Amino acid sequence: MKIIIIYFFLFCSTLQARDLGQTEITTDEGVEVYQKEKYYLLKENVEIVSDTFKLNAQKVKAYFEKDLYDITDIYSQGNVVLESNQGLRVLGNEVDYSVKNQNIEVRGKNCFLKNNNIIMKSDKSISVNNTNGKFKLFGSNSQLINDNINIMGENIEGIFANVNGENIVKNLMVEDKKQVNIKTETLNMFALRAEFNNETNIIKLFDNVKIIRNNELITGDYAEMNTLNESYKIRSLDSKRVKILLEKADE
Amino acid sequence: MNKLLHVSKNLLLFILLAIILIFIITTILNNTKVPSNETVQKSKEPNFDIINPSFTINNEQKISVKAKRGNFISDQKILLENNVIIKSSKFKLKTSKMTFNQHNQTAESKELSRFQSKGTVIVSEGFEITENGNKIFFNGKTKLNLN
Repeated sequence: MKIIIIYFFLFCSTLQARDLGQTEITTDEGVEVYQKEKYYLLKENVEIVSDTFKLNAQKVKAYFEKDLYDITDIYSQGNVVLESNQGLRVLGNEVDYSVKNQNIEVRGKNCFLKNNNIIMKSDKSISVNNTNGKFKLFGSNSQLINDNINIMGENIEGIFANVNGENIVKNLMVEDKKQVNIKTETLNMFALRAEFNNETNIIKLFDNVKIIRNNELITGDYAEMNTLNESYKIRSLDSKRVKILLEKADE
Repeated sequence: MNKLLHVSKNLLLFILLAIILIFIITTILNNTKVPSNETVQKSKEPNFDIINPSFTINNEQKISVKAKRGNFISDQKILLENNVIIKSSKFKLKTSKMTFNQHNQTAESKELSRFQSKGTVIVSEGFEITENGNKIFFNGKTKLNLN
């Protein structure tokens, strides 16, 4: 009878709902706790639910500082889905999350990170630091989408800032050995390297520059594009000339 | 009639039915228990060697082990049963049945277990303790609550 009572209480404790401020972790294949090394391994169908975030993965390694509850870093593997109540959604094969430094790194094919209105995609890695706003996308098919702008390149680096609940890209640098592509509603720009500064609202394009706007095609070695009024300056650094092609629109 | 002796017949009937129901459930549970290998073994050797066993595992952090009953199942292995508690300055682990290996100072349980330390509760379907308590593996479906 005593055993039945003990089981009943243990069973009840497993059914207990998560309290406010509590983090609940469930796994299908258990937990390995390494006390000296100060980490634990969560195995198979891991789900971590807290007040601020929810994480699903196949395997999770969690480092702690003093006790198990005191998590500092989370390394997740296998179909990772991380969602926060502050508009963050992360998908990837591997996701490293530093609780202390607020740093997120996503690795693997088709990695995805959405931070409110900013969407990041890559086939290799995405890293975002929520404290200083620094971000980096690296690998083929890296893409950054923000409101009406779509940026594609092998290496995208920049800084974002949260202004009135909206993430705004302050600085941006994109480069690609083959071609960088920046698309807005009215412009389609190509170059080997591009830089953007939010204070000046100017996009600088370097090498093999090509700008397509409506029916005009402008090529050169360097261009500056004002994103507010869409005026631009273009020049050729070497002997090549700036070329403008105007196509007659069909009526 | 004395008011003190005035008891509702319905209430009495309900209490009586409840007692009978509890008695029937307890009897059924005791009789329908599927005997496992260990229980078969136990029926052959019903005498427990140790009553209220209590010992400590040699470690940097002192870990004490307590249970209601204990039985030597081999030279090195002790089967601990009923309210098994493993306690250190950092954690407390409760289960109903556990095997302790004296030789390599390891513990293993395949029963529902509850681990408790500062801000942490872990409920699992069993556990393994190795390396003098440094490594604890919680097996099967496991739930952690962190505060």
